[in-house]
Amino acid sequence: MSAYRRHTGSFRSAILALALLAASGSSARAELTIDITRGNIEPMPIAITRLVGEGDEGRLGQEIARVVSADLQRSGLFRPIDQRAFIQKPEAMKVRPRFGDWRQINAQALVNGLIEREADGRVKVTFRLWDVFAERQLTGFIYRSVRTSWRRIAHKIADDIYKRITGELGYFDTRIVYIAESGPADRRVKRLAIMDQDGANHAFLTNGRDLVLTPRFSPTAQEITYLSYFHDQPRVYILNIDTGQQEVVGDFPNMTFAPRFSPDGNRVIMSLATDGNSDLYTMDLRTREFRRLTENPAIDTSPSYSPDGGQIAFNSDRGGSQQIYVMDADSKKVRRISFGAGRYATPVWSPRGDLIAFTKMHKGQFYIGVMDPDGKRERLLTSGFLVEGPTWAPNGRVLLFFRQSPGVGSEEGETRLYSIDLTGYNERLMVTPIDASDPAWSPLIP
Amino acid sequence: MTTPLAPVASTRDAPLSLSVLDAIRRQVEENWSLPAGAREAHDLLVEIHILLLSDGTVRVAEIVDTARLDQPGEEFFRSMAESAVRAVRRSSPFRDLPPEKYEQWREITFRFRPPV
Repeated sequence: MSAYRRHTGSFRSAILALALLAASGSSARAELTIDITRGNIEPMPIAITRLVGEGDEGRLGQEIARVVSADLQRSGLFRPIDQRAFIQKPEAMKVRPRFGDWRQINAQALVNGLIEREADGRVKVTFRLWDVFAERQLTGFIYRSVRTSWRRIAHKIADDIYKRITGELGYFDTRIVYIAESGPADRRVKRLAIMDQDGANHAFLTNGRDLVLTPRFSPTAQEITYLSYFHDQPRVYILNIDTGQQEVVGDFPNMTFAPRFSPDGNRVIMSLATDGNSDLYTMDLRTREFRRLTENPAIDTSPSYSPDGGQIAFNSDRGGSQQIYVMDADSKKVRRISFGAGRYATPVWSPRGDLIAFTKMHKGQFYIGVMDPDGKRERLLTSGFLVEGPTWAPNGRVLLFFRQSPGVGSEEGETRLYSIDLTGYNERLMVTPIDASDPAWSPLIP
Repeated sequence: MTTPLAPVASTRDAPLSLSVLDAIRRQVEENWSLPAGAREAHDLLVEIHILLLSDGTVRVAEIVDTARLDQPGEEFFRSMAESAVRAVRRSSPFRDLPPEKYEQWREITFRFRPPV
């Protein structure tokens, strides 16, 4: 917390301001300047009222408010105030909130709205976000959709609020795919599964007959690429989540690892092993043409593009131990960026481009961390017996990963998904019906 | 005979003590909810200009650089500026201000910088 202890500067500038004031004579209008360099990282208190509506709509309005509250609360940046503390009734706010009532319960922001049934049976949701202290509307939108999509409306509202208050894109209207695991270690069943970012609408996408690995989202479409073993041969698939349509990208006679999309969604980048040596390749999804990127006797794996496509982070043992390297996509020039103690793996470039997430192993402990793309400012966010597989929320502020707890005796420990934000403070379990590993976070749903 | 002492100089013109400045600053810092990503926002400075009534109530709190507020790409500046205004307004009324020095504290410019 040393970041919040830098206040000597403010004293000095205040003294300076006063010295200038004194020098200019007592009749001068005081122009006092005070530096504020500390704040609290308490979540912002926000009042989220139920959307007002008649009958069934009213009940749905309460459910939407509940999902919005849960989204914002899980972000760690907001503290939704208990509805029972509200003084003003949501019905009474049709014109304008009585801001004094909301200040009294310490709300800094306020959300209210209406839900109506349209003639065609769809629902129309109107919501507004208010700044309680400035007494003005910060944003407001109308959403129309089929009734069954009400959870998506809630997530979109949560995204609007998050974006307006924090200045960053939201990440609530998103989905997560992961590998759902069950059965004993020697006969482990691995299925591809999908759920909303909050764990709702869970479904299995494959039946578990074939082993599936490393699902990765396309940055441009609701598509995932993953690896599956078909007759003991690795196969790269692309699956469209909305249509369920699945396509075989190719059969690979040799070991294939971790296919991942390029930022434009037109290529897949992966590592292929021949004669025990693994190098990086891209494959054009239309022409099916391969391009070899590295030619090195070392093992090069886990490639991940920068969001502008200009660079590729990957890990390699070319320097002796496993470390993270960055390659310029055009010149193919490679430089090492990780220099800390231990081994580094699974670099994943943030969608904002400003950070690279990684897994680190040091003295029997695993860590998830982030560093700048030049390798500077390494920060470890969490650690454990086994933590792995970081994937970014589309706004680049939150990571999802999996954590396996140590087993007892011959029993394996359970494996679960967790999210953590860049501060390293807000780590949360993501509830899944069974063991879960290797998550991938979707972009915002269009 | 007693000689009358010369009147003690009024304390009105003496500068505000550090403890007063510190109290003002602390009140704002306690009320400032740092926006998300503030740790990443290097070099961001938001100035808030305020006018206080003699009882310490905030009468006006304005963002100085208003031109920057609605510019595209400045969403983070805007959220930080708004959080700064909220911090100042939540601090109202400011406590423990010496009334005889009202002229010195009736107008303050706060310079908000995210912690480094």
